[in-house]
Amino acid sequence: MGNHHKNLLNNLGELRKSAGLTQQELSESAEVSRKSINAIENGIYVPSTVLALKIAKTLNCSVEDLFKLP
Amino acid sequence: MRYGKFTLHFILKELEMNLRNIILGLCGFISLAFGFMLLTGWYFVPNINEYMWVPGTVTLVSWVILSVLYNSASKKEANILYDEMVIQRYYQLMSLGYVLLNIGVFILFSIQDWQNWSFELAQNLILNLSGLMFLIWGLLLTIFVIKDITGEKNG
Repeated sequence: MGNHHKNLLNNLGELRKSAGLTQQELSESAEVSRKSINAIENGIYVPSTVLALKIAKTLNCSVEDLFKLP
Repeated sequence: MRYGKFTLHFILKELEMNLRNIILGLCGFISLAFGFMLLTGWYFVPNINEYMWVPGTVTLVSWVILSVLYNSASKKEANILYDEMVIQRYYQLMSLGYVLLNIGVFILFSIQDWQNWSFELAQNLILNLSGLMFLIWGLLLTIFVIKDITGEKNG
């Protein structure tokens, strides 16, 4: 687990790296800026449902694998 | 072309993202400077009356450039450039601007000498209102740019 937002635990960094993607590549697949991916990984920003689903689809996993409630 | 993680594609993308920050930063700085001068009366630009068109024109030109960039980009690129985190930041700053503007207008109206109202005082009030708007607009743009540049960790 990476850095967490107070309302959301995230595992995005680990799953992204295990998928062999850079933040830039993941951001282009999910159609967001690289800064947003960085902010989510570092627990600065909580993504919308649509964005969480897009990221999960890109990484071929479920949203629950990526994010958990604290 | 690859220099470590800095591929040509990566560098071009970063330039595209930072062009917006350069344009907004310039616009914000000019508005802040004019707002500061009009509100404090400390004019570090001589004959400021001749340059009052500058902040508005810079804002208009910035709007045109950013609109052209947005509309000439593909839908995917436009979505990346203005994604949900950026939009959320816009909304937060708009709320902050609304609150600051109302507080500022309240203070400006409260300190007026309404008993001895004159054209000179009215002119000063108009200048102060303009200064307040320039100051808040510049402040919001500057905060946006600073948050965009510094809001990244372990990139």
